[in-house]
Amino acid sequence: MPVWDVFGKRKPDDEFQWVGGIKAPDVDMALVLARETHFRHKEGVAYAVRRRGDTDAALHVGKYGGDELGGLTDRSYRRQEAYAGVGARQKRVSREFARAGVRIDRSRPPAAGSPRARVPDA
Amino acid sequence: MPDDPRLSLILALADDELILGHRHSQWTGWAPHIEEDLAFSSIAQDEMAHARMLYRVARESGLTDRDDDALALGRPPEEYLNAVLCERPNGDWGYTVARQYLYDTADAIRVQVLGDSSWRALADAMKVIELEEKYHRDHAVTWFNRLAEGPSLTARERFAEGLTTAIGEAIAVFEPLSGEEELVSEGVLPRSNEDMLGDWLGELGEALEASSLDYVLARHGPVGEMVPTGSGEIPVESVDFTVPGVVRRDGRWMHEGAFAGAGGRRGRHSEDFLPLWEEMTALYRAHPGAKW
Amino acid sequence: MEPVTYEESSAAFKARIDAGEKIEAGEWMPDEYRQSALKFIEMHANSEVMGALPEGTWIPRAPTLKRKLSLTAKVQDEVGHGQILYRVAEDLGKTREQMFDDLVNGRTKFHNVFHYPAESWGDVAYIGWLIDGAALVNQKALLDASYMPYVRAMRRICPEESLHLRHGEELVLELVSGTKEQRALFQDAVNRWWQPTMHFFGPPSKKKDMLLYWGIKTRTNESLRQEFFSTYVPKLWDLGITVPDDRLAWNEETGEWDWAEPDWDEFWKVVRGDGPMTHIRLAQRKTVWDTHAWVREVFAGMPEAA
Repeated sequence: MPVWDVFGKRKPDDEFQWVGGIKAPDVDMALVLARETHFRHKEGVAYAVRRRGDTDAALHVGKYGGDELGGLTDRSYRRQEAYAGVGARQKRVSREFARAGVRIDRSRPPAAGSPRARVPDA
Repeated sequence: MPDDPRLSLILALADDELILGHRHSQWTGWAPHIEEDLAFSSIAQDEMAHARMLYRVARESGLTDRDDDALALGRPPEEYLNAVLCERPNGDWGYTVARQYLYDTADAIRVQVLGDSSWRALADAMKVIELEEKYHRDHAVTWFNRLAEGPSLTARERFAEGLTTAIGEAIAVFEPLSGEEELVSEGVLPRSNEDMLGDWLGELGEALEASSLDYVLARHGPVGEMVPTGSGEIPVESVDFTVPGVVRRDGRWMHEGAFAGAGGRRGRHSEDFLPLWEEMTALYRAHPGAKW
Repeated sequence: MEPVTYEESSAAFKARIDAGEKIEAGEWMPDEYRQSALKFIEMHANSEVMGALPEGTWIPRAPTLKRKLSLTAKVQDEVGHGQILYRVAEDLGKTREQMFDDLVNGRTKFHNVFHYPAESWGDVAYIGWLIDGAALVNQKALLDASYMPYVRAMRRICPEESLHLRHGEELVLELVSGTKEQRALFQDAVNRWWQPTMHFFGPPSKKKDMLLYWGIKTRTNESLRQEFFSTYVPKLWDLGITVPDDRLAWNEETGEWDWAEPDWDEFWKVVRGDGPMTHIRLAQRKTVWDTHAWVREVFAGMPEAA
C-alpha cells in the first residue's frame, strides 16, 4: 500500500512543510485521511499530500483550509486551552483539603511536586 | 410526543446525530485501517458535537428547561426521536460505511433545507453544521468509490450487503414528524420530509446506477447455481425481496407507499435501542446532580 | 581512517552515538541497532493501539456529553500515536501489516498496563492522569534518543500527552471533590492500579541494557520511577488519596524514595501474555483483523502489471 508524505502550513503565507506520513490506496483517500491524522488539533491552515518517492511531482493540496481544519464547532477539548485552569485548581483543592485535614502527611521531597529526586545515572 | 412541533424537529435532528455519533465512536480503536480510525473518530465527534449544539438551541429557544446532558442522557427511551437506522449496532465495516454513506447523503439534504428555516437559531446552527458535514460526505463518497470500483470483488459485495441491510431504515430518516404540516406551513421546515426523500432517492439512484449497484434498491438474491456445462445456469427458486416503498418510474428512483423501518420519529425503536440506551445513560442516571 | 571491517564500522557508529549524534532512517547501522530499535518502537506502537481499548470501553458510558467528546478525542490521539510510531518502525524494515498480524496473534508484546480491565470511571481518571503521567515521564526521556525519526515522533507525541495529563487531572479533581461515591471510585482505582503502575517502569535495569547501550533509550527504569514518585505521589497525598505501599516515603538520607518491591512474577506473567484481559482483547482484535482482510485487499490495490 502506498505511503504518502503529508505537508502542512501553519500560517497562510508559509511554505508547505513535511509533517509526517500515512498509508492510503489512492490520492483521494490520502487527502480524506491526512486531514484528520495530522490537522485535527488545528496544526495548520492548509495541507497537502504527495506519494512518497514522487519528489518531482506536484503536491496534491486538500480542499479544506483555515478554520475548517480542526473543527468549526467547539473542539477546544482537543487542545491545551480547554485545560488552562487545571493546575491552579489542583493547588486550590489541595489547600482546601489541607485545611480540612484530608491531606496525608508523609515524608516527601523538600519542594513538594518538584522533580528533585536524585537521578542515579544522570 | 412533544407539544411543540419545533421540539419534535430539533430532537429528531439532535438524536440522530447523538445516537449515530455514539455508534461511530465505538469504532475508535477498532477501525480496520489505522488512519481511518482517526478520520472516523473525528466524524463521530462531529456528530456528537452537533447534537450538543442542537440541544442547546432547543433550550435557548425556550422549548425545554433541560440542559444538554439532561437531554442527551437523562430522557426515558421512548422520548428519543432518532431514526432506527442510527441505533443499529455497527456490524462490520461494510455496513458501517454503507450506513454512513446513506445517512450523510440524506443528512446533507435536510441540513441544506433547514439552513433556510424561518427559525433563525436553527438556521444559524445548520449553517455551521453544513460546513462540517461536507467532510462526512467526502469521506462517504471516497469510500463508496473505493469499495464499489474495486479492485476487490469481496469489498464490493460487503459494501452492497451493507447497503441492502441499511437502505430500508435509511429511507425512514425522512419519516414524517409529528406536527410536520404546521412546521412546513410556518417555514420552520421549508420542505416536507416526503419532498426531501424524493430528492435523496433520485440522487442515490443515480450514484448507485453509475456503479451498477442499483440492484440493492430493486432486488436482492442469489443468481442461479452455475453448472460446468454448456447449459450454464440452472434457475433456482427465487428468494428475492424488494425494498418496500421504492420504485423506479420514468427513469428515476422514487418513494411510494409505506415506510418500512420507521417509528423512530414517534419514539418507537428497534430491539437494539434499549441496550444502547442502558449503556449510554447508566452512569449519568446513577449519580443525579453529580459533576464529572 | 575509514573503517574496513564490520566491527570497525559498528565501533565507529557507537562512537557517534556516544558523542550525541543522531541517526537517520536511511543511514548505515549495525544490525543489532536496527533490531533493537525496531523491537522497541514496535512495542511502543503496539502499546498505543492496545492502550486505546481499556479507556475506549468507557466512551459509550461517559457520564456527560463533554466527557464523551473529550474521551473519544483522547483515545483517538492514542491511536494517532500508534499510527505515527508504526510509520517510524515500518521504515526500519517491517511492514505495518506484519506488525499488526504479529500483535493480534500474540507474537509481539505490549506494555503491561494495557492487559488490565478499566472497571469504572475512576479507572478512566486514573489512566488519564497517572498512566499517562508515567508514560510521559518515559517519553520525555526519549526526546534525547539516538534514532532521529523516533525523536521527531516524540516531539509530536509529548505535547499531546501533556494535554491528556491535564484532561486526566481534571477528571481526578472532579472525582475527589465530588460525592463520597465518586471519591471512592478514584481511591479504588488507585488501589488496583498502583502495582501495575510500578511494573510499568520495569524491573531495575540490567547492567548491560542494549537499549541504553545504543541510546535508543537514555535513562534507567529506576531513575524514571523515582521521577514519577516525586511528581505524582505528593499530589495524591495532597488530595487525601492513599497509595497501597506502606513503605512509600521520601528518604532524606539517601535522597530517594523508599518503596516496596512489587510482585515481579505477576509482571512477567502479564508481559508474556497472560494478563487478566490479554486473551480477550487479542481475540477481539484478531476477529476484527481477520474478518476485515477485504479492507486490506481493496487498499492494497491490484498488483502492478509485469
